[in-house]
This record gives sequence, structure tokens and C-alpha cells, in this order.
Amino acid sequence: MSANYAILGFLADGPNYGYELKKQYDSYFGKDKPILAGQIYSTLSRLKRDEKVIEVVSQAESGGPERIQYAITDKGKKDLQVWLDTAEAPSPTLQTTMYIKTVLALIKDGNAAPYLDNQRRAHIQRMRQLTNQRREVSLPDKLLIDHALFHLEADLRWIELTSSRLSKLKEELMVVEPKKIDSKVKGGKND
Amino acid sequence: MTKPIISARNITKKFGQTEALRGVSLDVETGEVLAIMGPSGSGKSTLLHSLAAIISVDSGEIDFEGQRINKFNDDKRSKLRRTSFGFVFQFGQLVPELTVHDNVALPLLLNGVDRKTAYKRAEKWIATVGLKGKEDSLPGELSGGQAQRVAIARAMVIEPKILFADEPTGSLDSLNSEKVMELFIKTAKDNGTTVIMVTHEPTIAAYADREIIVRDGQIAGGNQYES
Repeated sequence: MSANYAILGFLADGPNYGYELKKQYDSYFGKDKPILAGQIYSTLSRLKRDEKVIEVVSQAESGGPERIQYAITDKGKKDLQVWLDTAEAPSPTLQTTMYIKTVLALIKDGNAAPYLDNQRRAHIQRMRQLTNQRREVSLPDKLLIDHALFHLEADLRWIELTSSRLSKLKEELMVVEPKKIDSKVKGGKND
Repeated sequence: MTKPIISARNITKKFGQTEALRGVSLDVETGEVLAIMGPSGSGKSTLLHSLAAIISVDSGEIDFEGQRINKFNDDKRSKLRRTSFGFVFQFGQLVPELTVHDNVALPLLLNGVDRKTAYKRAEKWIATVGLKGKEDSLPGELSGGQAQRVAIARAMVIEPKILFADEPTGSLDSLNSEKVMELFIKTAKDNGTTVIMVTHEPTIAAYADREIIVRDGQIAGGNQYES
């Protein structure tokens, strides 16, 4: 998820310090991978340049150095709202690594079932870890885990379907391959 | 691996010309939750039914707690199922004319437990699955999730050594599936009951300690037992 909008979303609740924004980010979205403080400040600097946030200098207590808070502007609020109102495009990726490995295993060994079995085991193992974790966590975290689980499930459905279509896939790949080879032999420009 | 509670060695089963099981060997540990997965027609339900002594295998051996159960006659198999095994199926399969209380007490009554004890134990299990107050309801008055809870109580009331389940959440939506599976696994773990369940859903298999995939009547990736 874009850090820009996470920061704008946090600031929509009121001005805050860069370090607090990092803590907020990590607590909501960065459990597996905390964001670098540098990334927070570079994002804030871009948002400031684009007039979506402004700096608010506050006098520190007991004569310490001034501290800078960041506040969202009207432009920032509008940008955040447009982003929230826009549906995400479904992933257009068709060439997944799993697909590539399946095809290469068929070309190389004539059998992709062992690869798909291994992949299935790894996926279910990850689902098992997440299912166990889900018991111990709060509802927001549970929803995040559910999201991950359903994505893994979608992959597994693809693995199942592909496993049951391997013979047919092999037949079709074998039809494509000789043609390629044939045209190369004849000096055809296939690449 | 500790001593398995149930072991299958090289079991085969044919239905007409179809080889449903082609030499399956498997060990299941006491207290383990095992998921049997596989595509439709792969032999996963046949494997479950063979282990549960619902059907007899053509060859091979099945040992349960040191007894070679594939050699049992129909009467002994039936007694084994009534006293040592619990069953949860996709649609609960409760007796529609009987109340929740009757349904849960039924396996005990069939085992010759006196009526008072049977109903008292049934009451305890109905409360365990969170349905206290529903004792007098008929299955038709329950939601799918509630009916499946009753099925779990009915399976657990005899305190089985092994709980066999075939698509235990097959008829439920995601939220109810989660609730039923959490209850199912917790109940089994709390009581040290071994679970062997068939499922085609990875989200359900993820509740198991281990999964095997059955394909074309064999375990994908090889048989799983200690030699």
C-alpha cells in the first residue's frame, strides 16, 4: 500500500510528528515489515512539496528545540478521499512464477506434479501458521490474516485445477514446442 | 513418531473395475489432527471410510490400538464404530424427528447406557458446543452452524478415540465454517481425541496438524508411515 495515503489517512485525524506517524504505520500496516523512518520523512517531504501537508512548528516544553508536526491540507484531504473512493484494479498479472515453474517442469522433466505438490505443501503450511496466529489476535489483525488466507486459498485452487490438467497441458505444450523448433530449423525468425 | 493409534498398510479397494485405493499406507498418531485432501474421485472418502471400518478393504491391513480391524466381522466393526469412533458428516445427518437432546443422547442409548445417564451426558455436551437452551429444538429449527454443533456434540458424547469427519463445514459459509472448525479442533484437542477429516478446502485443512493428498487412489508424494 502506498505510504502516501497511509500518512494522509493518519493526519486526517489531526496533526502529528514524523516519528509518531512511523509508529502508527508500523502498528497498523508494518507488523511483518516495519517502514524505515527515512521513508516516512521522504514521503512527508514529497507531500509537502505537493501541498498536501504543511509543517506546523511547535515550541517544545522547557525551552528545548522546536518540534515539527505535520498537518493535512484541504488538497491532501481531497486527494485522500479520491483514493478511498476509487476501486483497486484487479491484479492484471497473468504470468505468475507458479505458472512459469509448472511449464518449465513439464518441458524439463515431463512432469510438474512434484513441483505442484511441494508448492501446495508450502502454501498449506503457511495457512496453518496464519490460522494458528488468528486465534490470538484482535479483530483488525484477524481481518488482515483472513485477507492473506484467502489469497493463499486462491493460489491453492489454481494449484488443484492445474494438477488435474497436467496431462492436457503437457499435450498442448508439446504441440507448441515442435513448431518452434521446426521454424528455427528452417531459418524462421521465431524470437 | 510415537506409537500410532491407527495404521494402514498397503490397503486396496476396488468398486467394480475402479481402483479406489491402490496400496495406501499411513500412520496417524494419538491426538493428531490429520486432513485428507484430494480432488473429487481421488479416493479420499474411500480412505476415510476404510479407516473408520465403514467399508471393508480388499487387501492390506488396518490396525487400531493393536487390533487388526480389517479382519473384524460386521458385528465387531459395528460395535467398534459405536464405541470408539465418532462421525461428523457434511450435512450433520441428525434425525429430523428427534430433538437436539434425543439426537445427542442417541449414540449412548444405542450403546446400552441407561436413559438418565445418557441424557445427562448429552446435556453436558450440548452446553460444551454452546447450545444450552436448545435441547428441545428440532434439527429443522436450527441454523446450519447450530446443526453442525449438534453433530459435533453427538460425535463426542461417546468420548471417541478417533473422530472421523467428511467435509465437516461443507454446507456452511466462511464465518460459520470458522466458528465450527474452532470448536471442532478445540473440543478434540481438549479431550485428546484424534481427528481424521476429509476436506477439499485448504482453509479447513489448515486447522490440521498435517495433511495428505490422495490422488488416483494413492498418497501423493508417497506413503506416510514409520517403517
